[in-house]
Amino acid sequence: MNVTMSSQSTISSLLLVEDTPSLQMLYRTILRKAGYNAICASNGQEALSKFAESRPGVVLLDLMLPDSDGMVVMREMLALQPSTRIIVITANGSVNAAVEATRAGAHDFLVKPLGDIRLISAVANAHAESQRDLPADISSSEQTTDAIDSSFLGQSEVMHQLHKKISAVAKSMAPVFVLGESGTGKELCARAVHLKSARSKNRFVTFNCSAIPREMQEAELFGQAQRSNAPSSGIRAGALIKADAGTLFLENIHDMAPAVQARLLHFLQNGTAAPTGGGDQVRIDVRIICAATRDPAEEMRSGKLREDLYYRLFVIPMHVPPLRDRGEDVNILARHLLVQIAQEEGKTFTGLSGDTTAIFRKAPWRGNLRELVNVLRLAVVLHDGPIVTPQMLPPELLSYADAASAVTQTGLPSGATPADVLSGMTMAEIEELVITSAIRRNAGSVPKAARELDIAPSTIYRKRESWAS
Amino acid sequence: MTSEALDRKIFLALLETGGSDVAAALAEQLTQDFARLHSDLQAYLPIPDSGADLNFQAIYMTAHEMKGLALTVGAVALPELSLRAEKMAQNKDGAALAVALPEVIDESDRVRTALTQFIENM
Repeated sequence: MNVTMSSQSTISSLLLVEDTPSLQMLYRTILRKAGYNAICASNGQEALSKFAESRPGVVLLDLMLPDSDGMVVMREMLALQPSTRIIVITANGSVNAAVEATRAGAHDFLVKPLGDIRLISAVANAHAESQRDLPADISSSEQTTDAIDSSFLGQSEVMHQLHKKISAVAKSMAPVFVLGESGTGKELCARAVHLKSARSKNRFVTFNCSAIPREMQEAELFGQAQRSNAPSSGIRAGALIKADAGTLFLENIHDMAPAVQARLLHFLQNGTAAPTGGGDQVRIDVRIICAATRDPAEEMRSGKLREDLYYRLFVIPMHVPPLRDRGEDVNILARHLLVQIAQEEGKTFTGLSGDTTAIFRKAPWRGNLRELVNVLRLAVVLHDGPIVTPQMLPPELLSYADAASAVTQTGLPSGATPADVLSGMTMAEIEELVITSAIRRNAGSVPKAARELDIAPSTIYRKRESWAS
Repeated sequence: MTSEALDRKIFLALLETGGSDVAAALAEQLTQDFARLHSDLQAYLPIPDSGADLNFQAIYMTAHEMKGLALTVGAVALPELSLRAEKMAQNKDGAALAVALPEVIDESDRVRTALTQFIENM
Protein backbone atom coordinates (compact mmCIF):
# COMPACT_ATOMS: atom_id res chain seq x y z
CA MET A 1 0.00 0.00 0.00
CA ASN A 2 2.92 2.32 0.49
CA VAL A 3 3.40 4.65 -2.43
CA THR A 4 6.12 7.22 -2.45
CA MET A 5 7.19 9.59 -5.14
CA SER A 6 10.43 10.89 -3.81
CA SER A 7 11.26 12.72 -7.00
CA GLN A 8 7.90 14.47 -7.04
CA SER A 9 8.30 17.96 -5.76
CA THR A 10 5.51 19.33 -3.63
CA ILE A 11 2.95 21.22 -5.67
CA SER A 12 0.11 23.31 -4.36
CA SER A 13 -1.99 23.44 -7.48
CA LEU A 14 -4.28 20.56 -6.66
CA LEU A 15 -7.87 21.00 -5.49
CA LEU A 16 -9.66 18.10 -3.78
CA VAL A 17 -13.46 18.34 -3.73
CA GLU A 18 -15.01 15.66 -1.52
CA ASP A 19 -17.93 16.16 0.85
CA THR A 20 -17.48 13.11 3.09
CA PRO A 21 -14.99 14.27 5.76
CA SER A 22 -13.31 10.90 6.32
CA LEU A 23 -12.83 10.34 2.59
CA GLN A 24 -11.46 13.85 2.20
CA MET A 25 -9.02 13.13 5.02
CA LEU A 26 -8.03 9.80 3.46
CA TYR A 27 -7.39 11.19 -0.05
CA ARG A 28 -5.55 14.22 1.31
CA THR A 29 -3.30 11.93 3.35
CA ILE A 30 -2.51 9.70 0.36
CA LEU A 31 -1.73 12.74 -1.77
CA ARG A 32 0.42 14.37 0.87
CA LYS A 33 2.52 11.21 1.22
CA ALA A 34 3.08 11.33 -2.53
CA GLY A 35 4.23 14.95 -2.36
CA TYR A 36 1.01 16.75 -3.30
CA ASN A 37 -0.45 19.49 -1.16
CA ALA A 38 -4.22 19.38 -1.68
CA ILE A 39 -6.45 22.37 -1.12
CA CYS A 40 -9.77 20.93 0.09
CA ALA A 41 -13.40 21.85 -0.51
CA SER A 42 -16.55 20.12 0.76
CA ASN A 43 -19.21 21.44 -1.60
CA GLY A 44 -19.62 22.96 -5.05
CA GLN A 45 -19.71 26.58 -3.98
CA GLU A 46 -16.58 26.29 -1.87
CA ALA A 47 -14.90 24.37 -4.70
CA LEU A 48 -15.59 27.10 -7.26
CA SER A 49 -14.46 29.80 -4.86
CA LYS A 50 -11.16 28.03 -4.09
CA PHE A 51 -10.69 27.18 -7.75
CA ALA A 52 -11.00 30.83 -8.74
CA GLU A 53 -8.48 31.79 -6.05
CA SER A 54 -5.83 29.15 -6.65
CA ARG A 55 -6.33 28.24 -10.35
CA PRO A 56 -5.06 24.68 -9.83
CA GLY A 57 -3.74 22.57 -12.69
CA VAL A 58 -5.45 19.45 -11.36
CA VAL A 59 -8.79 18.96 -9.61
CA LEU A 60 -10.10 15.80 -7.94
CA LEU A 61 -13.87 16.21 -8.01
CA ASP A 62 -16.57 14.10 -6.41
CA LEU A 63 -19.52 14.13 -8.80
CA MET A 64 -22.22 14.12 -6.14
CA LEU A 65 -21.98 17.18 -3.94
CA PRO A 66 -24.49 18.31 -1.32
CA ASP A 67 -25.25 21.66 -2.95
CA SER A 68 -24.63 21.08 -6.64
CA ASP A 69 -24.09 18.67 -9.49
CA GLY A 70 -20.40 17.91 -9.93
CA MET A 71 -20.79 18.01 -13.73
CA VAL A 72 -21.96 21.62 -13.52
CA VAL A 73 -19.04 22.48 -11.24
CA MET A 74 -16.64 20.82 -13.69
CA ARG A 75 -18.01 22.79 -16.65
CA GLU A 76 -17.66 26.06 -14.74
CA MET A 77 -14.07 25.25 -13.84
CA LEU A 78 -13.17 24.33 -17.42
CA ALA A 79 -14.82 27.49 -18.70
CA LEU A 80 -12.66 29.49 -16.31
CA GLN A 81 -9.45 27.60 -17.06
CA PRO A 82 -9.62 25.08 -19.93
CA SER A 83 -6.14 23.67 -19.28
CA THR A 84 -7.22 22.26 -15.90
CA ARG A 85 -7.23 18.48 -15.69
CA ILE A 86 -10.27 17.30 -13.75
CA ILE A 87 -10.34 13.80 -12.31
CA VAL A 88 -13.87 12.77 -11.47
CA ILE A 89 -14.43 10.59 -8.40
CA THR A 90 -17.69 8.74 -8.01
CA ALA A 91 -19.29 5.77 -6.33
CA ASN A 92 -21.47 5.39 -9.41
CA GLY A 93 -19.31 3.52 -11.89
CA SER A 94 -21.60 3.08 -14.86
CA VAL A 95 -20.28 3.24 -18.40
CA ASN A 96 -22.69 6.05 -19.20
CA ALA A 97 -21.50 8.13 -16.27
CA ALA A 98 -17.89 7.71 -17.35
CA VAL A 99 -18.62 8.57 -20.97
CA GLU A 100 -20.73 11.58 -19.99
CA ALA A 101 -18.04 12.89 -17.64
CA THR A 102 -15.29 12.38 -20.19
CA ARG A 103 -17.27 14.09 -22.91
CA ALA A 104 -17.91 16.99 -20.57
CA GLY A 105 -14.16 17.39 -20.24
CA ALA A 106 -13.07 15.08 -17.40
CA HIS A 107 -9.48 13.96 -17.75
CA ASP A 108 -9.99 10.71 -15.84
CA PHE A 109 -12.74 8.84 -14.05
CA LEU A 110 -12.11 7.05 -10.75
CA VAL A 111 -14.59 4.73 -9.07
CA LYS A 112 -14.74 4.33 -5.29
CA PRO A 113 -13.17 2.65 -3.45
CA LEU A 114 -10.01 4.35 -4.61
CA GLY A 115 -6.73 2.48 -4.35
CA ASP A 116 -3.83 4.73 -3.41
CA ILE A 117 -1.73 3.65 -6.41
CA ARG A 118 -4.54 4.36 -8.85
CA LEU A 119 -5.24 7.72 -7.21
CA ILE A 120 -1.63 8.86 -7.31
CA SER A 121 -0.98 7.65 -10.84
CA ALA A 122 -4.10 9.47 -12.05
CA VAL A 123 -2.99 12.69 -10.34
CA ALA A 124 0.59 12.37 -11.61
CA ASN A 125 -0.66 11.79 -15.14
CA ALA A 126 -3.09 14.71 -14.96
CA HIS A 127 -0.40 16.98 -13.53
CA ALA A 128 2.01 16.07 -16.34
CA GLU A 129 -0.70 16.70 -18.93
CA SER A 130 -1.66 20.05 -17.44
CA GLN A 131 1.97 21.16 -17.60
CA ARG A 132 2.29 20.07 -21.22
CA ASP A 133 -0.73 22.07 -22.30
CA LEU A 134 0.21 25.36 -20.70
CA PRO A 135 -0.25 28.25 -23.09
CA ALA A 136 2.86 29.31 -24.98
CA ASP A 137 3.37 32.46 -22.97
CA ILE A 138 3.51 30.45 -19.76
CA SER A 139 5.35 27.43 -21.10
CA SER A 140 8.21 29.48 -22.42
CA SER A 141 9.12 30.42 -18.90
CA GLU A 142 8.35 27.12 -17.20
CA GLN A 143 9.29 24.37 -19.61
CA THR A 144 12.80 23.11 -19.97
CA THR A 145 14.60 23.46 -23.23
CA ASP A 146 14.56 19.77 -24.01
CA ALA A 147 10.81 20.09 -24.43
CA ILE A 148 11.93 20.98 -27.97
CA ASP A 149 9.14 23.49 -28.40
CA SER A 150 11.65 25.60 -30.27
CA SER A 151 12.28 23.01 -32.95
CA PHE A 152 10.07 24.74 -35.47
CA LEU A 153 12.14 27.91 -35.46
CA GLY A 154 14.04 28.42 -38.67
CA GLN A 155 14.10 29.92 -42.11
CA SER A 156 15.07 26.97 -44.29
CA GLU A 157 13.05 26.11 -47.33
CA VAL A 158 12.19 22.66 -45.98
CA MET A 159 10.67 24.16 -42.84
CA HIS A 160 8.84 26.78 -44.86
CA GLN A 161 7.31 23.99 -46.93
CA LEU A 162 6.42 22.07 -43.79
CA HIS A 163 4.63 25.08 -42.28
CA LYS A 164 2.63 25.49 -45.49
CA LYS A 165 1.69 21.83 -45.45
CA ILE A 166 0.61 22.01 -41.80
CA SER A 167 -1.75 24.89 -42.58
CA ALA A 168 -3.21 23.00 -45.53
CA VAL A 169 -3.80 19.65 -43.82
CA ALA A 170 -5.17 21.26 -40.65
CA LYS A 171 -8.34 22.12 -42.57
CA SER A 172 -8.92 18.47 -43.44
CA MET A 173 -10.15 15.54 -41.35
CA ALA A 174 -7.93 13.09 -43.24
CA PRO A 175 -5.45 11.07 -41.19
CA VAL A 176 -1.91 12.43 -41.18
CA PHE A 177 1.25 10.34 -40.89
CA VAL A 178 4.26 12.27 -39.61
CA LEU A 179 7.65 10.79 -40.44
CA GLY A 180 11.04 11.81 -39.23
CA GLU A 181 14.06 10.83 -37.24
CA SER A 182 14.06 10.77 -33.48
CA GLY A 183 14.28 14.25 -31.99
CA THR A 184 13.10 16.15 -35.05
CA GLY A 185 9.83 17.35 -33.49
CA LYS A 186 7.19 15.01 -34.92
CA GLU A 187 4.88 15.52 -31.95
CA LEU A 188 5.24 19.27 -32.27
CA CYS A 189 4.31 18.96 -35.94
CA ALA A 190 1.21 16.96 -34.97
CA ARG A 191 0.32 19.52 -32.30
CA ALA A 192 0.68 22.28 -34.85
CA VAL A 193 -1.82 20.51 -37.13
CA HIS A 194 -4.20 20.18 -34.18
CA LEU A 195 -3.81 23.78 -33.06
CA LYS A 196 -4.48 25.10 -36.55
CA SER A 197 -7.55 22.88 -36.97
CA ALA A 198 -11.17 23.44 -35.98
CA ARG A 199 -10.53 20.96 -33.17
CA SER A 200 -7.98 23.17 -31.42
CA LYS A 201 -10.23 23.91 -28.44
CA ASN A 202 -10.51 20.22 -27.69
CA ARG A 203 -7.90 17.77 -26.53
CA PHE A 204 -4.70 16.59 -28.15
CA VAL A 205 -4.07 13.16 -26.62
CA THR A 206 -0.79 11.31 -27.09
CA PHE A 207 -0.66 7.51 -27.21
CA ASN A 208 2.85 6.09 -27.59
CA CYS A 209 2.60 2.41 -28.50
CA SER A 210 6.28 1.83 -27.74
CA ALA A 211 5.91 3.14 -24.21
CA ILE A 212 2.90 1.02 -23.26
CA PRO A 213 3.24 -2.75 -22.69
CA ARG A 214 1.35 -4.65 -25.37
CA GLU A 215 -0.92 -6.36 -22.84
CA MET A 216 -2.06 -2.95 -21.57
CA GLN A 217 -2.49 -1.18 -24.90
CA GLU A 218 -6.08 -2.26 -25.51
CA ALA A 219 -7.30 -1.00 -22.13
CA GLU A 220 -5.29 2.21 -22.40
CA LEU A 221 -6.63 2.97 -25.88
CA PHE A 222 -10.24 1.82 -25.59
CA GLY A 223 -10.76 2.16 -21.84
CA GLN A 224 -11.34 -0.56 -19.30
CA ALA A 225 -14.60 -1.75 -17.78
CA GLN A 226 -13.86 -2.34 -14.11
CA ARG A 227 -15.67 -5.29 -12.66
CA SER A 228 -15.66 -6.38 -9.08
CA ASN A 229 -17.93 -8.03 -6.55
CA ALA A 230 -18.81 -4.62 -5.27
CA PRO A 231 -22.08 -3.19 -6.51
CA SER A 232 -20.16 -0.36 -8.02
CA SER A 233 -18.48 -1.28 -11.25
CA GLY A 234 -17.26 1.25 -13.76
CA ILE A 235 -15.08 2.26 -16.63
CA ARG A 236 -11.68 3.84 -16.91
CA ALA A 237 -11.63 6.14 -19.91
CA GLY A 238 -9.20 5.27 -22.69
CA ALA A 239 -7.24 7.57 -24.96
CA LEU A 240 -9.90 7.44 -27.69
CA ILE A 241 -12.65 8.77 -25.44
CA LYS A 242 -10.30 11.38 -24.00
CA ALA A 243 -9.59 12.61 -27.51
CA ASP A 244 -13.27 12.79 -28.46
CA ALA A 245 -13.86 15.91 -30.61
CA GLY A 246 -10.12 16.44 -30.63
CA THR A 247 -7.01 14.73 -31.97
CA LEU A 248 -5.41 11.41 -31.07
CA PHE A 249 -1.66 11.28 -31.70
CA LEU A 250 -0.53 7.68 -32.20
CA GLU A 251 3.22 7.22 -31.96
CA ASN A 252 5.08 4.16 -33.22
CA ILE A 253 2.01 2.28 -34.37
CA HIS A 254 4.21 -0.58 -35.55
CA ASP A 255 4.59 -1.44 -31.85
CA MET A 256 0.83 -1.78 -31.41
CA ALA A 257 -0.30 -5.35 -30.60
CA PRO A 258 -2.05 -7.09 -33.56
CA ALA A 259 -5.32 -7.49 -31.64
CA VAL A 260 -5.35 -3.77 -30.82
CA GLN A 261 -4.62 -2.94 -34.47
CA ALA A 262 -7.67 -5.00 -35.41
CA ARG A 263 -9.86 -3.11 -32.92
CA LEU A 264 -8.48 0.22 -34.09
CA LEU A 265 -9.31 -0.69 -37.68
CA HIS A 266 -12.84 -1.59 -36.63
CA PHE A 267 -13.16 1.78 -34.91
CA LEU A 268 -11.91 3.62 -37.99
CA GLN A 269 -14.48 1.80 -40.11
CA ASN A 270 -17.44 2.30 -37.77
CA GLY A 271 -16.65 5.32 -35.63
CA THR A 272 -17.74 3.46 -32.49
CA ALA A 273 -15.85 1.65 -29.75
CA ALA A 274 -16.63 -0.10 -26.48
CA PRO A 275 -14.40 -0.32 -23.42
CA THR A 276 -12.29 -3.42 -23.02
CA GLY A 277 -14.04 -5.94 -20.82
CA GLY A 278 -17.57 -5.00 -21.81
CA GLY A 279 -19.86 -2.05 -22.11
CA ASP A 280 -21.86 -0.18 -24.69
CA GLN A 281 -20.51 0.92 -28.05
CA VAL A 282 -19.96 4.68 -27.96
CA ARG A 283 -19.65 6.96 -30.99
CA ILE A 284 -16.35 8.84 -30.88
CA ASP A 285 -15.32 11.70 -33.14
CA VAL A 286 -11.57 11.88 -33.33
CA ARG A 287 -8.90 12.84 -35.85
CA ILE A 288 -5.93 10.50 -35.93
CA ILE A 289 -2.37 11.67 -36.48
CA CYS A 290 0.32 8.98 -36.50
CA ALA A 291 4.06 9.35 -36.20
CA ALA A 292 6.95 7.00 -36.72
CA THR A 293 10.69 7.02 -37.02
CA ARG A 294 10.58 3.97 -39.30
CA ASP A 295 9.08 3.69 -42.76
CA PRO A 296 5.48 2.48 -42.18
CA ALA A 297 5.38 0.84 -45.61
CA GLU A 298 8.34 -1.29 -44.59
CA GLU A 299 6.63 -2.13 -41.29
CA MET A 300 3.57 -3.20 -43.27
CA ARG A 301 5.65 -5.38 -45.58
CA SER A 302 7.37 -7.01 -42.61
CA GLY A 303 3.98 -7.81 -41.07
CA LYS A 304 4.25 -5.50 -38.06
CA LEU A 305 1.51 -3.20 -39.32
CA ARG A 306 -1.75 -4.49 -40.81
CA GLU A 307 -2.05 -3.65 -44.47
CA ASP A 308 -5.67 -2.49 -44.19
CA LEU A 309 -4.79 -0.29 -41.22
CA TYR A 310 -1.79 1.16 -43.07
CA TYR A 311 -3.99 2.27 -45.96
CA ARG A 312 -6.52 3.76 -43.51
CA LEU A 313 -3.87 5.81 -41.73
CA PHE A 314 -1.24 6.61 -44.33
CA VAL A 315 -3.31 9.20 -46.17
CA ILE A 316 -1.33 12.45 -45.81
CA PRO A 317 2.39 11.87 -45.18
CA MET A 318 4.42 14.70 -43.65
CA HIS A 319 8.17 14.54 -43.30
CA VAL A 320 9.85 16.52 -40.53
CA PRO A 321 13.40 17.07 -41.79
CA PRO A 322 16.43 16.21 -39.67
CA LEU A 323 18.43 19.12 -38.32
CA ARG A 324 21.37 18.48 -40.68
CA ASP A 325 19.09 19.16 -43.66
CA ARG A 326 17.86 22.49 -42.33
CA GLY A 327 20.89 24.55 -43.28
CA GLU A 328 21.38 27.64 -41.16
CA ASP A 329 18.37 26.73 -38.97
CA VAL A 330 20.74 24.90 -36.65
CA ASN A 331 22.43 28.15 -35.67
CA ILE A 332 19.16 30.06 -35.33
CA LEU A 333 17.96 27.32 -33.00
CA ALA A 334 21.29 27.14 -31.18
CA ARG A 335 21.29 30.87 -30.38
CA HIS A 336 17.69 30.68 -29.16
CA LEU A 337 18.36 27.62 -27.00
CA LEU A 338 21.63 28.99 -25.68
CA VAL A 339 19.92 31.95 -24.04
CA GLN A 340 17.32 29.67 -22.42
CA ILE A 341 19.89 27.18 -21.15
CA ALA A 342 22.16 29.94 -19.83
CA GLN A 343 19.22 31.39 -17.88
CA GLU A 344 18.41 27.97 -16.43
CA GLU A 345 22.02 27.42 -15.40
CA GLY A 346 22.56 30.94 -14.09
CA LYS A 347 25.29 31.75 -16.66
CA THR A 348 25.78 34.56 -19.15
CA PHE A 349 26.08 33.33 -22.72
CA THR A 350 25.12 35.59 -25.58
CA GLY A 351 26.14 33.84 -28.79
CA LEU A 352 28.24 31.47 -30.89
CA SER A 353 31.63 32.12 -32.40
CA GLY A 354 32.03 31.99 -36.18
CA ASP A 355 33.98 28.73 -35.94
CA THR A 356 31.25 27.21 -33.79
CA THR A 357 28.52 28.10 -36.27
CA ALA A 358 30.61 26.52 -39.05
CA ILE A 359 30.95 23.32 -37.03
CA PHE A 360 27.26 23.30 -36.22
CA ARG A 361 26.40 23.59 -39.91
CA LYS A 362 28.62 20.61 -40.74
CA ALA A 363 27.75 18.30 -37.88
CA PRO A 364 25.45 15.36 -38.70
CA TRP A 365 23.22 15.87 -35.61
CA ARG A 366 22.02 12.28 -35.59
CA GLY A 367 20.20 13.02 -32.34
CA ASN A 368 18.71 16.15 -33.90
CA LEU A 369 17.49 18.82 -31.53
CA ARG A 370 18.02 16.73 -28.40
CA GLU A 371 21.68 16.37 -29.31
CA LEU A 372 22.00 20.11 -29.96
CA VAL A 373 20.46 20.86 -26.56
CA ASN A 374 22.91 18.45 -24.88
CA VAL A 375 25.91 20.01 -26.63
CA LEU A 376 24.86 23.51 -25.60
CA ARG A 377 24.09 22.49 -22.04
CA LEU A 378 27.49 20.86 -21.72
CA ALA A 379 29.18 24.03 -22.92
CA VAL A 380 27.17 26.25 -20.58
CA VAL A 381 27.62 24.06 -17.52
CA LEU A 382 31.37 23.57 -17.91
CA HIS A 383 32.37 27.00 -19.12
CA ASP A 384 31.77 30.69 -18.61
CA GLY A 385 30.44 32.87 -21.40
CA PRO A 386 29.72 34.95 -23.15
CA ILE A 387 30.50 33.16 -26.48
CA VAL A 388 30.43 29.43 -27.25
CA THR A 389 33.76 28.59 -28.89
CA PRO A 390 34.89 25.28 -30.47
CA GLN A 391 37.00 24.55 -27.39
CA MET A 392 33.75 24.17 -25.43
CA LEU A 393 32.36 21.51 -27.77
CA PRO A 394 32.65 17.71 -27.39
CA PRO A 395 35.73 16.25 -29.16
CA GLU A 396 33.68 14.02 -31.44
CA LEU A 397 31.92 17.08 -32.82
CA LEU A 398 35.21 18.87 -33.40
CA SER A 399 36.85 15.93 -35.10
CA TYR A 400 33.92 15.42 -37.39
CA ALA A 401 33.84 19.05 -38.37
CA ASP A 402 37.57 19.44 -38.95
CA ALA A 403 37.71 18.01 -42.43
CA ALA A 404 34.54 19.72 -43.56
CA SER A 405 35.60 23.13 -42.38
CA ALA A 406 39.04 22.63 -43.91
CA VAL A 407 37.42 22.18 -47.29
CA THR A 408 34.55 24.58 -47.17
CA GLN A 409 35.59 27.35 -44.82
CA THR A 410 39.26 27.97 -45.28
CA GLY A 411 39.89 26.48 -48.71
CA LEU A 412 42.41 23.79 -49.45
CA PRO A 413 45.77 23.84 -47.68
CA SER A 414 48.62 24.86 -49.91
CA GLY A 415 49.51 22.13 -52.40
CA ALA A 416 46.80 19.82 -51.16
CA THR A 417 44.16 18.14 -53.28
CA PRO A 418 40.59 17.58 -52.07
CA ALA A 419 41.48 13.91 -51.59
CA ASP A 420 44.34 14.91 -49.26
CA VAL A 421 41.97 16.80 -47.03
CA LEU A 422 39.80 13.71 -46.72
CA SER A 423 42.70 11.50 -45.69
CA GLY A 424 42.04 9.61 -42.50
CA MET A 425 38.33 9.39 -43.14
CA THR A 426 36.62 6.12 -43.98
CA MET A 427 34.71 5.71 -47.25
CA ALA A 428 31.45 5.70 -45.30
CA GLU A 429 32.39 8.99 -43.60
CA ILE A 430 33.34 10.57 -46.91
CA GLU A 431 30.10 9.41 -48.48
CA GLU A 432 28.09 10.88 -45.63
CA LEU A 433 30.04 14.13 -45.84
CA VAL A 434 29.45 14.44 -49.58
CA ILE A 435 25.75 13.65 -49.39
CA THR A 436 24.99 15.91 -46.40
CA SER A 437 26.92 18.73 -48.05
CA ALA A 438 24.88 18.31 -51.21
CA ILE A 439 21.62 18.37 -49.28
CA ARG A 440 22.73 21.51 -47.47
CA ARG A 441 23.73 23.21 -50.70
CA ASN A 442 20.26 22.46 -51.97
CA ALA A 443 18.51 23.98 -48.96
CA GLY A 444 17.51 20.62 -47.57
CA SER A 445 15.99 19.25 -50.76
CA VAL A 446 16.84 15.56 -51.10
CA PRO A 447 15.57 15.29 -54.71
CA LYS A 448 17.75 18.24 -55.78
CA ALA A 449 20.78 16.82 -53.93
CA ALA A 450 20.17 13.48 -55.60
CA ARG A 451 20.11 15.15 -59.03
CA GLU A 452 23.36 16.96 -58.26
CA LEU A 453 25.04 13.71 -57.23
CA ASP A 454 23.35 11.75 -60.04
CA ILE A 455 21.88 9.17 -57.71
CA ALA A 456 18.29 8.21 -56.85
CA PRO A 457 16.61 10.09 -53.96
CA SER A 458 15.74 6.73 -52.44
CA THR A 459 19.47 6.02 -52.15
CA ILE A 460 19.88 9.13 -50.03
CA TYR A 461 16.90 8.25 -47.85
CA ARG A 462 18.27 4.74 -47.38
CA LYS A 463 21.73 6.05 -46.51
CA ARG A 464 20.30 8.50 -44.00
CA GLU A 465 18.38 5.75 -42.28
CA SER A 466 21.59 3.74 -41.96
CA TRP A 467 23.42 6.74 -40.48
CA ALA A 468 20.65 7.32 -37.99
CA SER A 469 20.55 3.68 -36.85
CA MET B 1 -15.57 -7.11 15.75
CA THR B 2 -18.23 -8.93 13.73
CA SER B 3 -16.44 -10.32 10.74
CA GLU B 4 -19.51 -10.42 8.53
CA ALA B 5 -20.05 -6.64 8.78
CA LEU B 6 -16.52 -5.58 7.91
CA ASP B 7 -13.61 -7.06 5.99
CA ARG B 8 -10.79 -6.76 8.52
CA LYS B 9 -8.00 -6.86 5.91
CA ILE B 10 -9.46 -4.04 3.84
CA PHE B 11 -10.07 -1.85 6.86
CA LEU B 12 -6.62 -2.47 8.29
CA ALA B 13 -4.99 -1.64 4.95
CA LEU B 14 -7.06 1.53 4.81
CA LEU B 15 -5.85 2.68 8.21
CA GLU B 16 -2.25 1.87 7.26
CA THR B 17 -2.51 4.00 4.13
CA GLY B 18 -1.96 7.21 6.02
CA GLY B 19 0.52 5.85 8.53
CA SER B 20 0.14 5.40 12.27
CA ASP B 21 0.02 9.14 13.00
CA VAL B 22 -3.12 9.52 10.90
CA ALA B 23 -4.79 6.16 11.60
CA ALA B 24 -6.46 7.18 14.87
CA ALA B 25 -7.83 10.43 13.46
CA LEU B 26 -9.06 8.68 10.33
CA ALA B 27 -10.76 5.95 12.36
CA GLU B 28 -12.42 8.57 14.55
CA GLN B 29 -13.66 10.50 11.51
CA LEU B 30 -14.99 7.34 9.86
CA THR B 31 -16.98 6.51 13.00
CA GLN B 32 -18.42 10.01 13.08
CA ASP B 33 -19.38 9.84 9.39
CA PHE B 34 -21.17 6.52 9.85
CA ALA B 35 -22.98 7.92 12.87
CA ARG B 36 -24.09 10.99 10.91
CA LEU B 37 -25.37 8.98 7.94
CA HIS B 38 -27.09 6.50 10.23
CA SER B 39 -28.84 9.35 12.01
CA ASP B 40 -29.83 11.04 8.73
CA LEU B 41 -31.36 7.86 7.33
CA GLN B 42 -33.33 7.32 10.52
CA ALA B 43 -34.76 10.81 10.14
CA TYR B 44 -35.88 9.96 6.59
CA LEU B 45 -37.72 6.76 7.60
CA PRO B 46 -41.38 6.87 6.59
CA ILE B 47 -43.73 7.36 9.52
CA PRO B 48 -46.63 4.90 9.15
CA ASP B 49 -50.04 6.46 8.55
CA SER B 50 -48.61 9.99 8.72
CA GLY B 51 -49.30 10.71 5.06
CA ALA B 52 -46.03 12.62 4.83
CA ASP B 53 -44.11 12.40 1.55
CA LEU B 54 -40.67 10.80 1.59
CA ASN B 55 -37.72 13.05 0.83
CA PHE B 56 -36.48 10.90 -2.05
CA GLN B 57 -33.68 13.26 -3.04
CA ALA B 58 -32.25 13.35 0.47
CA ILE B 59 -32.51 9.56 0.80
CA TYR B 60 -30.81 9.15 -2.57
CA MET B 61 -27.93 11.44 -1.60
CA THR B 62 -27.44 9.84 1.81
CA ALA B 63 -27.63 6.28 0.49
CA HIS B 64 -25.13 7.19 -2.20
CA GLU B 65 -22.72 8.65 0.34
CA MET B 66 -23.20 5.61 2.57
CA LYS B 67 -22.36 3.35 -0.37
CA GLY B 68 -19.11 5.19 -1.11
CA LEU B 69 -18.04 5.12 2.51
CA ALA B 70 -19.03 1.46 2.93
CA LEU B 71 -17.01 0.45 -0.14
CA THR B 72 -13.99 2.32 1.18
CA VAL B 73 -13.92 0.75 4.65
CA GLY B 74 -14.52 -2.78 3.35
CA ALA B 75 -18.08 -3.23 4.62
CA VAL B 76 -19.41 -6.57 3.37
CA ALA B 77 -23.17 -6.19 2.92
CA LEU B 78 -23.72 -2.46 3.35
CA PRO B 79 -22.61 -1.37 -0.17
CA GLU B 80 -25.22 -3.59 -1.82
CA LEU B 81 -27.98 -2.55 0.57
CA SER B 82 -27.11 1.13 0.09
CA LEU B 83 -27.11 0.75 -3.69
CA ARG B 84 -30.57 -0.81 -3.59
CA ALA B 85 -31.92 2.03 -1.45
CA GLU B 86 -30.24 4.57 -3.75
CA LYS B 87 -31.99 3.10 -6.79
CA MET B 88 -35.35 2.90 -5.01
CA ALA B 89 -35.06 6.55 -4.04
CA GLN B 90 -34.12 7.45 -7.60
CA ASN B 91 -37.24 5.63 -8.80
CA LYS B 92 -39.32 7.24 -6.02
CA ASP B 93 -40.42 3.79 -4.85
CA GLY B 94 -41.68 4.60 -1.36
CA ALA B 95 -43.13 1.14 -0.69
CA ALA B 96 -39.85 -0.59 -1.43
CA LEU B 97 -37.94 1.96 0.62
CA ALA B 98 -40.15 1.33 3.62
CA VAL B 99 -38.66 -2.17 3.68
CA ALA B 100 -35.14 -1.46 2.44
CA LEU B 101 -34.27 1.63 4.45
CA PRO B 102 -34.46 -0.06 7.87
CA GLU B 103 -32.13 -2.76 6.52
CA VAL B 104 -29.58 -0.12 5.54
CA ILE B 105 -29.90 1.54 8.92
CA ASP B 106 -29.43 -1.76 10.78
CA GLU B 107 -26.45 -2.77 8.69
CA SER B 108 -24.78 0.62 9.01
CA ASP B 109 -25.21 0.32 12.76
CA ARG B 110 -23.44 -3.06 12.65
CA VAL B 111 -20.60 -1.59 10.62
CA ARG B 112 -20.25 1.35 12.99
CA THR B 113 -20.17 -1.04 15.97
CA ALA B 114 -17.54 -3.16 14.21
CA LEU B 115 -15.46 -0.07 13.53
CA THR B 116 -15.69 1.06 17.15
CA GLN B 117 -14.68 -2.35 18.48
CA PHE B 118 -11.81 -2.54 16.04
CA ILE B 119 -10.54 0.89 17.03
CA GLU B 120 -10.79 0.10 20.74
CA ASN B 121 -8.57 -2.94 20.19
CA MET B 122 -5.98 -1.03 18.15
